Amino acid sequence: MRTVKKLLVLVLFVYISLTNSGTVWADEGRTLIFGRVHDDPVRSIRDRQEFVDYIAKKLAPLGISSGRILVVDKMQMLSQALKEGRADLFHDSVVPVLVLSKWAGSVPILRQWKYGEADYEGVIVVQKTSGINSLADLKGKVIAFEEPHSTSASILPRMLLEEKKLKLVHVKAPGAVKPDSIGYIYGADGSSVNVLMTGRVDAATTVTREIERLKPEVRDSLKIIGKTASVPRQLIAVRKDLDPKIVKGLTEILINMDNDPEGQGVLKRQQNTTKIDAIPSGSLDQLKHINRYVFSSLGKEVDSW
Amino acid sequence: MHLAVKLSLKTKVFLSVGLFYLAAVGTLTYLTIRSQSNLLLAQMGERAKVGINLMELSVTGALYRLDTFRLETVAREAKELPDVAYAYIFDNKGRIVGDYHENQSQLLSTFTDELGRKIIKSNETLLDIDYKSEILDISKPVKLGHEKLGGMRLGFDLKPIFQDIQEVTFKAVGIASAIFLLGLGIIFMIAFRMTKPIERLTLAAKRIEEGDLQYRVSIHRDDEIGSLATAFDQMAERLMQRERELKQSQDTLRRADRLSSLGLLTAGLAHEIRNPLVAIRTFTQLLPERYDDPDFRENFQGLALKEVDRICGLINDLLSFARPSKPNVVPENVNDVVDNIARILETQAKEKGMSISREFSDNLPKVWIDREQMKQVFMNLILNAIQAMKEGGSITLASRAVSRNGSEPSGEFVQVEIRDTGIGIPEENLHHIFDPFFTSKDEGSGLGLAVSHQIVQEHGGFVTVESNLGKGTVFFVHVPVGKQVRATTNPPRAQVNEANLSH
Repeated sequence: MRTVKKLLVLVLFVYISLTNSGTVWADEGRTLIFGRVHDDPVRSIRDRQEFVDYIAKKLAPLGISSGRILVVDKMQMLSQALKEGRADLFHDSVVPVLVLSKWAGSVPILRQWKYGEADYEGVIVVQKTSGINSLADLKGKVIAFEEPHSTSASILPRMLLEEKKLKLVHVKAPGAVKPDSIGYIYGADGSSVNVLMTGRVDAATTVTREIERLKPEVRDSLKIIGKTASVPRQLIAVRKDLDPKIVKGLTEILINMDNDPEGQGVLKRQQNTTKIDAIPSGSLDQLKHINRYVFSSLGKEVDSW
Repeated sequence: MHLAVKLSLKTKVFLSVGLFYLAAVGTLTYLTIRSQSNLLLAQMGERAKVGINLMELSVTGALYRLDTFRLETVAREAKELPDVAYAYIFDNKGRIVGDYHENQSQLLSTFTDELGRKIIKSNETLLDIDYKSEILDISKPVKLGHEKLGGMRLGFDLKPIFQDIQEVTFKAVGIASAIFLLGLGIIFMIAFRMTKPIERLTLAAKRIEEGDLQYRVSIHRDDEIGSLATAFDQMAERLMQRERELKQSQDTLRRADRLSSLGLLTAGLAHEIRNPLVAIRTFTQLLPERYDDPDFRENFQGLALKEVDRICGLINDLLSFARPSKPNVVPENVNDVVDNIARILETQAKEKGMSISREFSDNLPKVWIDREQMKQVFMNLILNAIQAMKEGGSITLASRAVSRNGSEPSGEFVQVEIRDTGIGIPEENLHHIFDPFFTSKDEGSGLGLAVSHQIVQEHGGFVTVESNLGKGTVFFVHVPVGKQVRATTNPPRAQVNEANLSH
């Protein structure tokens, strides 16, 4: 009986997936669709709906009547949506934006000052009592990254470590690591310090802001042994074939949001953003460098994002 | 149909307060039960809202992705919520994409019931109670951003709640009944305590109205009822005092009236007494000369005894009329009383050339009267008749048994008629003839008719008068057959209203 029910649910899934193919993706054209890669669609949509509504309202003269958010689990899915015109724009940290630019041809157009930060950097922390004082001391140890595509808590630290000629070995779980290598595991977004504090790993990656938010006694028990290069906090990108008029209008609206009282409020509620501006030219080389690293060093690992 | 049910004040108070109390207790009980029921249902409603809101946390993401495995799991997990009878999750087309139901899965179907169709279209949380199936149905649309993803529908079994409500109802009715019965007892006691003194006051008023001025309420309470009773007793005391004073006044008036009548009788009586005395004197003067004549002696003895007896009789009548007597109500033949007075006045009438004729009925029932008082009545009326005629004329005295309205035969009253052929009474005076001190004559106190009327009234009777100016007047004295108990005397009322005046 239970098997029959499971089968029924499977059939249902297939049936609904087929019959809803035109429904989940709302009608495009007049609707501006904001893409988002996240495993929590509820939070993703609730956090961004006001932001997207604001943009859509401002773009009304260009024929945009509404805005909606498309949340997908994987970057591959957003790439597909961007290619098919089912997503018009998205924002994310540097690495996902670069990856989607590569896959779907999307174009980064602006920098978003998330949490009031124009740029940010990743840090590698250890417990003060660990005896680890430098990155080199991590040999034979295990470090916890966050999500594989996390710019600050995964890619940038990896780049930092590899630039120091330290060999990284992916381990399924904390355990014995060869003395000449640094083992690493992936954790969920914002979880690496927790893993470190519970003693499961020897080092963890995070961002300066997260360190500052920790309780004083926890913060004081940690030691930063490495800092990554600074990169734009968040980028906004559009699909490659989005109407240039809309891209232009969108750019103007976003850049001027912090000058509009309503826009200021919307930005503040959008991850405490203070402004949106152009990507500094000085960052472009760095972005290219990261891009090269991602697609040359990570190889097939990226395909699974 | 009109039912005239006479209820006592106590019953009225008890019934009215009792009914009001019943209504109050009933209403309060109903409101309490209803309030408790609503509270229980509201609590269930809140639980349902919490349940469906918790469910929403898990459903929204899964519904967004149309993760039917997750939706099915969530629907099954909803079973863990207390009293859940069914749980459905439906997509934006109304199709059930996750469900839990004790009996049969509804996957991929849509709601066919009216509420279900309403739920699918609704953008609000809907709460519905089906009292027949005892189910609380709550539904909530699931929205994300501007998009309605579908919704959830949960059914909560209300049987435990209805059992609680039933239990509350039984308890409330039981407690209310006990309170009602207790209250009823208190109301009865209050009604009894409130109305008892009023009943005593009522009884006292009745007793006093019947003439028992000695009766007292004697309620000693420190409240309005006590004050009223005290005031009532004081009023009765003053009434008794007034009654005594009135009685004294009446006695004085009657005595004055008797003396007045005696004055009028004096001349006639003097003549009546002088005649036999002259006869006795004549015989006495002749006695020495004719002492040896046995016929003379025999005649003298007979005449002297007869005349002395006659004088004694007259003097006795006069004394009995003049002397104030104690009330003595006994059965009497009214003809004897009237005749007795007629005899006293007959001489006076003859002197004026008037005749007194008698037309008494032989079969009159005896009436309960005070002989002396009634003699005063007839004395006054016959004297009035004599005075109403200048020279000559006739007075007719008659008696008969009649009804209240004067028709014969009946036997309710004995009617005595005193008719004269005098000058009559002017119409404007007819209304005042029973007023004390009213008189149209040069002589007389003006008390005769007033006193007579009062005496007749005290005997439970009444007096009427008919008069034709220049032709004569007739008074009808009605005395009831059977004993009329009058403990005391009421003050005379307006005489003209009591009399049946026709002419």
